[in-house]
Amino acid sequence: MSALKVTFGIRFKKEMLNFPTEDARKIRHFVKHVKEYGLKNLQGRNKPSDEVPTDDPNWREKVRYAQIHNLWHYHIGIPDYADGVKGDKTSEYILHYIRDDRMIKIVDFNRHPPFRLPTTDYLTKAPLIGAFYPAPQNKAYLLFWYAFCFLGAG
Amino acid sequence: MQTAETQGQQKSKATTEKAQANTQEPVFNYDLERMKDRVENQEFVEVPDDALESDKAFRAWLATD
Repeated sequence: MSALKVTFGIRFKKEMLNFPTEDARKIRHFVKHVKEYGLKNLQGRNKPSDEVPTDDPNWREKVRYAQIHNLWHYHIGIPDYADGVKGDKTSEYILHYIRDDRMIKIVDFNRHPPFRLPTTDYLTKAPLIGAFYPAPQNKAYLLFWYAFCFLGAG
Repeated sequence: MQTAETQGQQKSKATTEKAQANTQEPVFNYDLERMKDRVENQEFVEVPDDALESDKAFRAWLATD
């Protein structure tokens, strides 16, 4: 993968002003790497956020939420790196971002475990498919969705 | 210029605040979240190359509107 464009969510960008210099530096180095080389050969673990631990009580919701927003996260090395079981490096703090083919959008940063996804306050407008995808707990909306698909197909 | 002690206190405070903010799980109410998404279209800004040259340049960029 070649170089990628990097953007920050306005909210997270403002919050980063309060970050310690050392932490901001690690995020800056990550951004610089991605802008020059893309997401290959990173020092820390980088993975899609829909790989939620299966023992998570909100597993289904978190997987769906991560997929709708195309969320990924990177082990940023804060406070330090430890050797991961897969031969890569992991850290307590992770950087959340939205990924597409040409750019990443950095949206939040938090500590884990437990694994927590960024709230929608930090995200952009949901993709069209996400915006109209039926929530399983809303039966009326689900019915409307199926009717819409049926009439649309007809 | 900040002393090492001041930087340590700053880091400790920021980490504590972030940890406190992280103690609550997000509520996954998709109906409410979708409505919120429609009215709050989060904006994103691209990081220019010159903002990545130093800590000072990066912080200056973070401070821009």
